[in-house]
Amino acid sequence: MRSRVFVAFVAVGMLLFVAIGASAASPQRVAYIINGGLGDLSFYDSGQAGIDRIRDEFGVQTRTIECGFDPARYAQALQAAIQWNADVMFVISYGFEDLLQQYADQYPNKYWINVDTVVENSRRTITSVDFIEEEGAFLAGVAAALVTTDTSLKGVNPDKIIGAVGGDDDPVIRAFLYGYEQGAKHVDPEIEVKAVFAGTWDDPVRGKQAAKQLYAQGADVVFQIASLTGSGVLEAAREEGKYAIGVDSNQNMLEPGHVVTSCLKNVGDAIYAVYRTIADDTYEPGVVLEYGVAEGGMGLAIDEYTRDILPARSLERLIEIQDGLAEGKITVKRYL
Amino acid sequence: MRRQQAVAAAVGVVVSLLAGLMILWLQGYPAAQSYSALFSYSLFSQFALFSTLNKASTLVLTGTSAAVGFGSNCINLGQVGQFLMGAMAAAAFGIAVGLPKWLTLPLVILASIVAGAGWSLLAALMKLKWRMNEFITTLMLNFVADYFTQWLISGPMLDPRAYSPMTRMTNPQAWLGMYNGLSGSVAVAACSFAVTWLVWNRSKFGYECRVMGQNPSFAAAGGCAVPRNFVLAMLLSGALAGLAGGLMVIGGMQHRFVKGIGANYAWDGVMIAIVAGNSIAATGLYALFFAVLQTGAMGMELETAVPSEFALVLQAIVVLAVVASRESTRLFLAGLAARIRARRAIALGDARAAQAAQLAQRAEADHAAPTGGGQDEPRA
Amino acid sequence: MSRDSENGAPGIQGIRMSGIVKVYPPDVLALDNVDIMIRWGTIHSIIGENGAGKSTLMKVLYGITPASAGRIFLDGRQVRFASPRQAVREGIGMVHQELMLIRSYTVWENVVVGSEPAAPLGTLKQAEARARVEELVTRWGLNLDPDAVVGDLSVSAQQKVEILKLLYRDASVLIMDEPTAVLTPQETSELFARLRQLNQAGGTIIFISHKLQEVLDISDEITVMRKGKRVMTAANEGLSRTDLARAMVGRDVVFAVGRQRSEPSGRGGTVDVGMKPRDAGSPAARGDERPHAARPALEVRGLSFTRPGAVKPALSDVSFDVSRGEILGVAGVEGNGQFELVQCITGALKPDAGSIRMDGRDVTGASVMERRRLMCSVPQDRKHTGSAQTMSITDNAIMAHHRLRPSLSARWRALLDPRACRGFCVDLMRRYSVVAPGPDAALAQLSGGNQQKVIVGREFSHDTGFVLLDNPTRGLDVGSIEFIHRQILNKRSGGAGCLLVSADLDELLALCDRILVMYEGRVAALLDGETADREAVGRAMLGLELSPEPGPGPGSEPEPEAGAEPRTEVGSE
Repeated sequence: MRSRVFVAFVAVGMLLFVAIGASAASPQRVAYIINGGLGDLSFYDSGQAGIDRIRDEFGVQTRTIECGFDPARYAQALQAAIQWNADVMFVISYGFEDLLQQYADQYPNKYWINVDTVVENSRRTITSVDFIEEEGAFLAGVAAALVTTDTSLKGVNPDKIIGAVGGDDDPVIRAFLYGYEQGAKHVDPEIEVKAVFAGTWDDPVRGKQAAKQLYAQGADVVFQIASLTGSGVLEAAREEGKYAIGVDSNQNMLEPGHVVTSCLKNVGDAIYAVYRTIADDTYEPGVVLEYGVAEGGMGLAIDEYTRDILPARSLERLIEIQDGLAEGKITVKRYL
Repeated sequence: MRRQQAVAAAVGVVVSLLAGLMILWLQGYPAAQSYSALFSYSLFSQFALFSTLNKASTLVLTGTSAAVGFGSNCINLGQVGQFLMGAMAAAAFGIAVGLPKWLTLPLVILASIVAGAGWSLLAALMKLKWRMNEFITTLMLNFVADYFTQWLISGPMLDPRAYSPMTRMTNPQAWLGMYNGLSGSVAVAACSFAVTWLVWNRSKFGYECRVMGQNPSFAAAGGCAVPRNFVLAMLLSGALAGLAGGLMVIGGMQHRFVKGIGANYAWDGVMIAIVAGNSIAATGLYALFFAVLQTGAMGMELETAVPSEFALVLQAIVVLAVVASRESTRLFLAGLAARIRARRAIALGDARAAQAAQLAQRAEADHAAPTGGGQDEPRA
Repeated sequence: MSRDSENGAPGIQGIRMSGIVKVYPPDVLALDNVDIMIRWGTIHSIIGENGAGKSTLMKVLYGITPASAGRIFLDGRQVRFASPRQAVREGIGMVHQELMLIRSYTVWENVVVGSEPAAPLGTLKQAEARARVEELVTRWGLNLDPDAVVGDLSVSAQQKVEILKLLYRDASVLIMDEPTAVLTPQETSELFARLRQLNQAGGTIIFISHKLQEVLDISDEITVMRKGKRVMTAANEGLSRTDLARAMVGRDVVFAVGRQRSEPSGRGGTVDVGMKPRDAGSPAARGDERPHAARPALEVRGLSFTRPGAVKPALSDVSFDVSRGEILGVAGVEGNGQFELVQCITGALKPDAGSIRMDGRDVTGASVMERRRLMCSVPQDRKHTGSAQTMSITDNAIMAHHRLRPSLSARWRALLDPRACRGFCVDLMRRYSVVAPGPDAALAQLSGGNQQKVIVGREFSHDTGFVLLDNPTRGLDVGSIEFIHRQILNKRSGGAGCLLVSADLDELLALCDRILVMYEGRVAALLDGETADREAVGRAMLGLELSPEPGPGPGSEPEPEAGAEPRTEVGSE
């Protein structure tokens, strides 16, 4: 008798559990799990803007879990999000792609969206948001070329050298550099690109050192592709009276007169766009969404700060090339 | 003595938890809720408990590494480097060796131990040969290990398919495995903790090390081979840190050397050893406690949006409170006892004192030659 | 120097301390309702065993430690000193056991520092201050050069600087805390002469000591303390050492425990060969003269050692033997090579030349642990080399035994058997009557005497033919000293050869069969313990050889006060 009650109890419990699992249709909780930390005024903050927009427009609870580049926290962050009962996970998974795969396989009823890289799990439930960094970087390369070839600009030397400071030497940064170089050569094939890897994403001092090194080697403009480390690059530009290009978010206003433009990676917009598909039930699991210039995922931040630096002629050329890229008239070769 | 220390530790922990509560409250966070999240995400579910134990397994090893070092008067601050070298050795062997599991696993563990010990041996030899202070050399070797491993994982050993610097995944034969979320490294850490405790508290070598830690001159005068013991203690300390690093690769879920793998484990270990007063048993307890804080912090961030850095604040307060209360409880208890004793002495001696004073005054008034105090003269 | 009594009542002239209680946390009753009266113009000695409370009492008076209860009166007026500065303002000064001088300053600078003439130290004021110091030096016949650098002075001279400091501050009461502990007999009598001089000028002197004879020599009144209580105050008339000792210890103490000889085997030929034993024939030849002990416990031959960077050798060509069943004493002013000699014997130092043999075996290059099989050693510095204060008594008791005594090992030889260790410690505590809460208590909780008993017990539990004792009773109370002396004599009658290095001449004269005197790293004299007296030993210690006439030594031997004497480190007790 007692055992039958128990069985019934368990059965009801399991039904409830399944029901809860199935009711994932209307998500209540959204987690943004990032390998690094907020406050970089660039990559992670861009994504946070999208998360905030989701919270405001859809009235869901959102939480950001920062791992602060601490591998010990990766698995824990994913687990904590599960424990918190998040329905949708936006994950920036550098360094724990394999963990993401395991968790996505283990919890197939959740929405798993991997941002910035392509991660595939065996159940094919992870949707990856991939940015065509080459296109954005191409435009940054064009902008850099327009600066270094224009000796009428203050502080520009005759050497046709441009620089870039990367965080780590990883495929995404390589893709950036690949596009950057193409863009520069598109303007002037003689331009030489020098790159330095800071080896860290959250140390502005090292970014500054790297940038100063590049300026000393004759670069007039340095493209920062290093999250918080890159803020040191922008500072170095001001201190040296040279130019820099920001990344991911619009960083033009950070050092007015020295940040020519920013290579936007609209992580926030992409996150928002993906969430909208979840909300209106057009979400497709297991696909790779590519965001390039045409899709509005990549682009340049051109505003009054840019206009203060670049002469109208150069600006026109830049916009012309951007439009060409968006319309498909110009194609950029992909890294790998 | 030991009970007093336990009391001091308990007082310190409680005081710091209360201080943390106060800070949360002042900052306008729901304090009680935050604490319940802290513990429910670290203890009150199987996964939570297991993640805490996983984390504790690493902290126990780095903690005992520091405790063994400090406790024998070798200031080994090179846990960072030894940890990284251990992890790198485990990764390299795990990738290269494809023997059966029963052979691979011990081999990989041994490799990490040897790498960690070898890295500390460098510092020990520099001390013996050139009298270079191990506290400097171990610190400097941290940088060497850090840059060396970073170079390896972003250059020669980089996984070509990875998006960030990391080695390839090791062969599955070199995995300890997870059991319902409990890493096999917990068992290995527990074993090495037990062995370390035995060596430290029961062996002749451990005894000599403990004496060396308290008073090296006494150890030397007693015939202990101080230089040899110094090297051995450094090796043991390095081996434990190396093992901690190795287990990060062998245990866990990632099975590779990922950039930043050392996190803050090494310095947490140093902190734990200091709080524990270099006692091995206490190091184990504090490692568990710190693991609870660190694991629960993320839950706190999720539930009540308290930044997970709060765990660091709490850790720091615990260190301060425990270390401070160790001394102050002793002083407080001693002072209390002293006051009671004094009062009793005065009460007991009151009559006698009055009498003595009278006698003395009379003697003075009589201007007589000084004589004995009287009542208390020894009877021959 | 003199203190006039302002108010007419003559009965309360002086310092009166009444009902003083001092508890050191947690519950050490250091002073238990102590009443004491110190009259102006007297030399008042306070004696007692270590831990009897005499120093504590003076610290209370001088404002260093606050009393838990009790009152202090000066001429019937209650005072309260929160710091030594306030005590000095009332004319009370104290010379501590550890001298507190700035070694790189000159004498007059040391005297003046802290109470410089009001204006910033200008040249004029400097000259004035220096002149005043010089005037004090001449007035009190202190025989000091105001411009000498203190670091170059001997300990006795430094002590005089301390006294000078107090005189400069117009102190009329001098508290001298065990001033003779670091002095040779000659220096002691010189100090006493000065103190008497000060006393005659009206000064009050409170003299703390545990050396009975000194106290009897100098005091007007004597207060005896025991276990925090004042047990007796008496005028120094008709008092004997036995009276004082009985009061101090609370029972009769047998003096001169060592005078009865245990007729050690084969001491015959060694006295005369002591100075240059190498010339005294081969050991084998001498061995024939001593049928019972074939080999001496210790043979030291031509031992030389120079510290790296030092000009003068610390040891030069030191040779001697310690026979079995003999106690050989080593005397000398501190810093004349005894320290290095001991270190060479224990193995802490490697001699530059010479050899050391124990029980016939050459141990010159042996490790400390290898030597430990042949010797045991009671170190001079209880806290620094003799023990680990923070560790338990057991941990302190098993040192060296943990390797040499198989019974302490667990079944697996690399491990210790905690129960066996504890048992060993309990047994040791019983045999050496150590008073302690238990074997697990930290050594630091024990009194100095009991700590030393643990150390001596530990060392004497090694069954070795050679025993090295480096100031084994330094800073101990009479009871403990007596106990340890008995143990040493037991060792001797057990057939062990003992080398006793001591700064206490009485100890050497009481115990030793022969006394070796060291001076500037050499064996200056080897005297027979029976016939030697303080005078002879003291003269040899000062490098005056054995010339009968006092005064300037033979040749260009420096005077002790001249500053050329090897510097004496003033160890903290």
